[in-house]
Amino acid sequence: MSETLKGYAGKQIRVNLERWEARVEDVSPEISRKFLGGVGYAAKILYDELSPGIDPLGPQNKMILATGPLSLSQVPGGGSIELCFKSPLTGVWGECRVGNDFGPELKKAGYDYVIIEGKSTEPVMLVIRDQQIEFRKADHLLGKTVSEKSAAIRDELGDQRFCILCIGPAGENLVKVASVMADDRAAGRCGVGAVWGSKNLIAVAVRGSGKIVAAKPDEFKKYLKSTHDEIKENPMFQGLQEFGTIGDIPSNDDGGDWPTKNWQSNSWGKGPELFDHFQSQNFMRGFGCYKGCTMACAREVQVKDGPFKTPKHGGAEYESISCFTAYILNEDMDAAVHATYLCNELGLDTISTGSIIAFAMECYEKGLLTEKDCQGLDLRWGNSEILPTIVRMIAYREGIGDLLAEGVRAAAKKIGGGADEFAIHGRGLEAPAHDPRSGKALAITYATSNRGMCHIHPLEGMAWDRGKLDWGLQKYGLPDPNTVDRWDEIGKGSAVSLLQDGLVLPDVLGTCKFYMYGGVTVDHWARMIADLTGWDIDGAELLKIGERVINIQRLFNGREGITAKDDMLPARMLEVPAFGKYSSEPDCVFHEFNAVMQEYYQTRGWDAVTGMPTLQKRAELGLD
Amino acid sequence: MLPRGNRIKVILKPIGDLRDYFGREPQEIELPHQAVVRDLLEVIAERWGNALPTYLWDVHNRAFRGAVYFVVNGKVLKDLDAPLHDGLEITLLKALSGG
Ligand code: SF4
Repeated sequence: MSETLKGYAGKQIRVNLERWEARVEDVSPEISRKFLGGVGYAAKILYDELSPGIDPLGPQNKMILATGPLSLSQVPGGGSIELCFKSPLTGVWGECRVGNDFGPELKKAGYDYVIIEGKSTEPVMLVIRDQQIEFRKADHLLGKTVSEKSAAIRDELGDQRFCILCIGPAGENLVKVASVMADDRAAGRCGVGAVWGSKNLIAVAVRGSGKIVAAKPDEFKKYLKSTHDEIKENPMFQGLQEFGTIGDIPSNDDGGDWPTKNWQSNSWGKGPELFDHFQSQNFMRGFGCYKGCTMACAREVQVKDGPFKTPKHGGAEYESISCFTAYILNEDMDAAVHATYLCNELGLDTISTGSIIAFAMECYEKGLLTEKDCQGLDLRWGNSEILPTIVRMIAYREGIGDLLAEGVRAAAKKIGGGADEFAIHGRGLEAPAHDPRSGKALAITYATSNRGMCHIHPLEGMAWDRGKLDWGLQKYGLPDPNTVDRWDEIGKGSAVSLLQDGLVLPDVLGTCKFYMYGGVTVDHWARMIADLTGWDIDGAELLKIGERVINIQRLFNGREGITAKDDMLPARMLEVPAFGKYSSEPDCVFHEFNAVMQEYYQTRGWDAVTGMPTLQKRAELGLD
Repeated sequence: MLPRGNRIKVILKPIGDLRDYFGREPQEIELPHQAVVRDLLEVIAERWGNALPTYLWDVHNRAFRGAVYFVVNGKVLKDLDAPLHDGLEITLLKALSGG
């Protein structure tokens, strides 16, 4: 517990993997006040400490495990940890969040951040037990799946309560779409697992016995309780609790928000029956990623029998299942549940892996990949039989899997023959299962998201435009979503700017974004931070911090060569769907994309050509 | 049918995609005096039930499916026996969840 930085642990561990040394440093009060924590604090550190152009898989890259000030189990959504780095998949800003007790536990051990540098000469596991920081050999863990590794580590440490982050075989094999897993929850995106693999970092385990004390403990406690009471009545909270993220499959299919057949369409029509099968055959119960999660949107699932028999596990998220059904025209829900389970066990990002398979199927259909290229695999659309094999081939880089393990952008370049037309990504990150042909704000958030086309940051575009949520931002200038048609264009650029500033906050504060969907507003967060830290801070200042974070990440990307011309969508997202409910609905595609992007840059104070914050904007945000 | 003076009117405000099925404007619905949520579902069954997609509406049980909720003052109205009163504004929404 820090005296100068109330409400924070106040310490960070700087790990040197080369020498197996760890140094404990003070967390910077100045950076904390300007960037708060999570992806904000980490962005400032990486911006200052990484040279542009470094190899993301080289020892110069750094991996920051970042809590936010609200990564506390009693806070709504507080069971969070952010992993920040330069991405080997995209070459730009990389971040992933995972819901787990790891974040709160790290704080209990006395640390807000772990900054991991260099590369170990042999496989290593970092063990943090309060003041004791230990490096352990990890050769014996190599090759094990995620659940095997996690069980072996807990046994070895003799304490089942350790919180563990680890890579699977995919990370060990430097697969560019490898994840870092916290049991069956994933820090999935941007190739985070490959960065761990490149450093020979196999796992980090943490156990803490301390406590974070708020500056105003009684007020903090009381306010957390009243917020919990308030949100449990919220329809979004109840919807997520009752049906999980996967509950949106039928309505997204109907609403044109379900990318199908590698984005050839935005609807399929099979969503309702697939979901019914899931609810009756696979779903077991809802649970929370961390101890205090009351929303508990995670799903425990299984496949009872048949060729895809799968043990009870946590998974089957909306994104994962969509990428293994609609993306590839797979009508077998059991196969999708099984494939996503395999991804989690092998440490593969489910979104990227499903996208890569969809890409490969289209290449196969068009003759750019043959059965021989694919070691006899029949990559016909919808052929669910091949899923376990191709997932393993990607994780172990076997046969065609070695090429696909590089992600769709790199694979398309190598395959040639126009394959890049089927490589659906933003900044190199495979696109998630929401389609901007369901609402135009999503197109702008996709085009401008710092880590690329992901399922976290851009979603506020869709949730405001089509979902009609406002997160209490109307008082800060956000148009009432009920006055906006999802297919309107003008005005969406300026709205998106404010949406991004507000909705980056959960990742800065170290909380789960779904709690904002469930009723927590920017003003709620501000009050919590004020009571926790004793600072005089309000919603407007939080939004300014959100803006600062978006801008510093953008500057990080600018140094890596990103300009306004990279703020583009794959052509397919700007075309009328080839089939399905919206194939005769020209309004669903963007007509004035460039004009709305100009509106966005102007609102942001970014140069329209370089796409970077102007000097004036940098000065305003204290980023000069 | 009860005499007119003994009936109430509630306003049903569909949100988002549901407006494609219930109409873009709020709908005025007349119900018997002392009507409860269950009575409102009956009117919906009669007026819209057959036109709603099966993932939203269970024709057999005359009830919504999935995360479709009646919401009053930001709170979900789940109790089918909860009383309704004249002039009550009820939002009808499909909770968003896929992330
Ligand atoms: S709301 Fe869902 S995703 Fe968020 S922490 Fe809880 S279980 Fe995890």
